[in-house]
Amino acid sequence: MRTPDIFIKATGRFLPETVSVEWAVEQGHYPARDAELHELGGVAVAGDTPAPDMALWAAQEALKRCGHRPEDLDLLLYVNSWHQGPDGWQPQYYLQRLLVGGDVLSVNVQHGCNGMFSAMELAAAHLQAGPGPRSALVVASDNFGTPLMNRWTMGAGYIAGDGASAVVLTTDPGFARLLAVGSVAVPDAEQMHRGSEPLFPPGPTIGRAVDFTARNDSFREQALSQGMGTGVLMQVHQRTLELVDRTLSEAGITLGDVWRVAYMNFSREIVEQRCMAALGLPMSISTWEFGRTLGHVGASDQIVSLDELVTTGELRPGDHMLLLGMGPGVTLSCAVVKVVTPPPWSD
Amino acid sequence: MTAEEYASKLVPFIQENLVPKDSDVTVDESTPLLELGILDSLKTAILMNYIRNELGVVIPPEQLSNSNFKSPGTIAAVITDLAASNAG
Repeated sequence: MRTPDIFIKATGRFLPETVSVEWAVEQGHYPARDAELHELGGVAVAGDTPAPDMALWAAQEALKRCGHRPEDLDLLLYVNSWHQGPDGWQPQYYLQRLLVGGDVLSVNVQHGCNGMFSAMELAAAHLQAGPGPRSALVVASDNFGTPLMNRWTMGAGYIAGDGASAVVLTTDPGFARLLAVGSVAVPDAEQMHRGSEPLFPPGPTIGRAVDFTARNDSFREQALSQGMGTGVLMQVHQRTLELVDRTLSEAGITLGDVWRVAYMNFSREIVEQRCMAALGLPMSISTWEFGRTLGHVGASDQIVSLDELVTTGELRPGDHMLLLGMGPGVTLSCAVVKVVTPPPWSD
Repeated sequence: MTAEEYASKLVPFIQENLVPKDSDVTVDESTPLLELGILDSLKTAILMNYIRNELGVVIPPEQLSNSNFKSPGTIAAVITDLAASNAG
């Protein structure tokens, strides 16, 4: 979706302390073989800090950085991919009470680690639905340090990290433009992330842990034994390339204009083969070196990388950044951001 | 290069880089890559990057079909057609 009149007024983040992969190997949490294979460096671990608190801090930082009054917001979208607090209670209520108040439409958005892309797309449409000026706060947060999941082994080629990110989107001019954002899916591969687990009763209600690696393996076995093969997984790569082409043209730029790329904080091989080399771009313009120290922070990876590059001045006025992600569904998401003026904050 | 020559490069590359070490599959021109699950999304990316970087041919996404990527032989045919149309 083209979003020509949508600006980013500020980003924000909250990242807890990190632990190193070496420490995790010594503790027996992470196999030495994976450390060598994936070349990841560390992961952000929040201990018992609740995800909604981290979301609040990231949101407060974003609003403070650009001097935007929380009560002036028209929309709050709270993105998460893991449990936030008591079931039946949604985390954005917490930010309504402590930050934005009761007059702002506040909704919980779940779209796996693609959630910030879809929330920004929904927010962009919402901001253009009424007379301006309008603004939205999109925030994501997760703390994976819980029972029923193991951050070290739950998925292939990544370690799940804790933390939060926030974006203030406005129709009034801001330091950067959101030029385009969009998602597509490969529905024939949806079983990849549920494997052979029953739809009912839902996993957590019977204490069932999340193990994407096991689900992926059982999906693969089934696809091979039923003779379908893995053609559907090939489509995931096909649709990724098609989505990047589409999003770049919606943004009115080519790959040659891209200054930096933020993929998910996955292994070097995955980032290089699935993203950078696949686009014919060098790893030197990816955010892999930064991301490998944080882990895969739910839906926040790309926004945390954007926040880092803007804050450190590595992304300057005139520079374009490509954000790309893949998640359950299988869902592919992409966005293009262009910095217009220096951010209203610095390191 | 002819389709034969492209295939003669693809077969060893797939054998060494895309077939798991513990697998007893020996790749030849007609090996059913999708039926055997040799190509998933990551390995498709690795193969396409190899074709572009080493064989100098870019396969457009829309040609990433099950029929085109059925076996090293069918992939070699696609590459040959593309190389011809690029040169033409």
